[in-house]
Amino acid sequence: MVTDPALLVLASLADGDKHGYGMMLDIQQFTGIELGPGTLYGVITRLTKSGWIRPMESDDRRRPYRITPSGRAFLREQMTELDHVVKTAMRRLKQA
Amino acid sequence: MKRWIAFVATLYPRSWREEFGAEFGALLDDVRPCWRVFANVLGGALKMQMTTGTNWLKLAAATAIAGVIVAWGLSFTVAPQYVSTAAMSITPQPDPLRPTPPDVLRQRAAEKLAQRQTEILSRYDLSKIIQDPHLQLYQAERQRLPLEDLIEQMRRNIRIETRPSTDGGLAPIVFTIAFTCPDGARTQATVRRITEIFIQSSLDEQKFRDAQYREFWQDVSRFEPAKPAPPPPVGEIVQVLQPASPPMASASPERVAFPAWGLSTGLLLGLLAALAMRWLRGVWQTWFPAALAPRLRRPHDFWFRRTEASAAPNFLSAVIGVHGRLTRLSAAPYFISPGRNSPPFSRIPSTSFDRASQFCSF
Repeated sequence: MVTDPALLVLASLADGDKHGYGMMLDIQQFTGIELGPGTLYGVITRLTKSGWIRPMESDDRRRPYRITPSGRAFLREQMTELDHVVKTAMRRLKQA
Repeated sequence: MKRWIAFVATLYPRSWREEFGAEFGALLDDVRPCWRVFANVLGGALKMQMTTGTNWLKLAAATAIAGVIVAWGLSFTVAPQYVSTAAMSITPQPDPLRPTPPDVLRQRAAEKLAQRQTEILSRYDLSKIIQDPHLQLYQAERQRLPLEDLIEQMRRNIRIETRPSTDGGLAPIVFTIAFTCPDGARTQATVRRITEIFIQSSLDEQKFRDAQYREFWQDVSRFEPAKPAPPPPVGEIVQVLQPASPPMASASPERVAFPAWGLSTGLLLGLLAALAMRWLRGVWQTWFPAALAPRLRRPHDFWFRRTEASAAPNFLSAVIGVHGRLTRLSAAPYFISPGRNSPPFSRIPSTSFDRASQFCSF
């Protein structure tokens, strides 16, 4: 299971814009992992600074975030690598 | 709990709060407040303090505050302690048979008090008190701890102190007996029991002295029947001045001691962490400059990836070409993979490194 919070946030935003609480609920739904507010905003800060997600304009205090093209590319690359690992492991398991 | 969480959220750096504070507050409004959230936010604040600025003073202050909060919270998990106190006195009495200076009598009474105190705190007396079915002390502890440990615990919980006095001679020596225990009613009963033991041992001694005295004068009267017997010696008189007080919640030194302990521990840990971070940074820059090689995401990946043939050119270009330019990145615990088909490091635009370094700073 992918447990890197940054990847989880990117994976959550790949589905569409979400605010903090929306991401928490979404991540919990698709992984069962409950990210704490401190962890989530640590990741959001990092990803925003690295330019992989960006905040959207909002009148509400709850500011939604959107994944950027570079963030999407990074996520895709990570998932490809992960997929490679999974396929290799599955193949080896079958051989054993 | 919500207020506590809101408070620890203020421990985030100001610059961060200006940027994310409002939405973070909105998120905290949405989540269910609990200790886990509290700890998570506190941890996030500390981490953010460490990573933005890495000011050792800030770090130490943040860990000290965290230590105070955690220790103060812990102090509430400690069961309240009740104290009951009794005041007693021991008064030296003149000896009709052997006239003795009052100061010597007083000294003798003080020694008697010290001896009684030793007896009370002896294994024999304390085990009797602990096993007294009327008192039922340390019920839960008796299930899991040996009697010796309970005796030691009770010895620590009993305080017998002599009140300072400038009176000399035959003036009474006043002393107090205090016992601390989590059960109020038992605390008072135990102090009452200890005062009884004091009184009883004094009476026993008096009885013993009287018996010896009677025996002696019976022997004397056989030889000199006409000689009248002098009044019997009294020894010391032990009195209860103030019976065991109703149990009072102890002055709760834990509420003060715990945060003080947390403050000092937090401060120390913060300073140690700052030193460790500096040391690690130095080690990192010395030993892992090549860890900037492309496609390395974690420090330990370095040793794994370097064995891959495909990574070798990138690895070399990283070491030879841009080592000097990128050493600031080598301190970062995380590394970014530019991608399988990415250009060598020397051709990556500097903006990418800036971006990467921002990410890597965590």
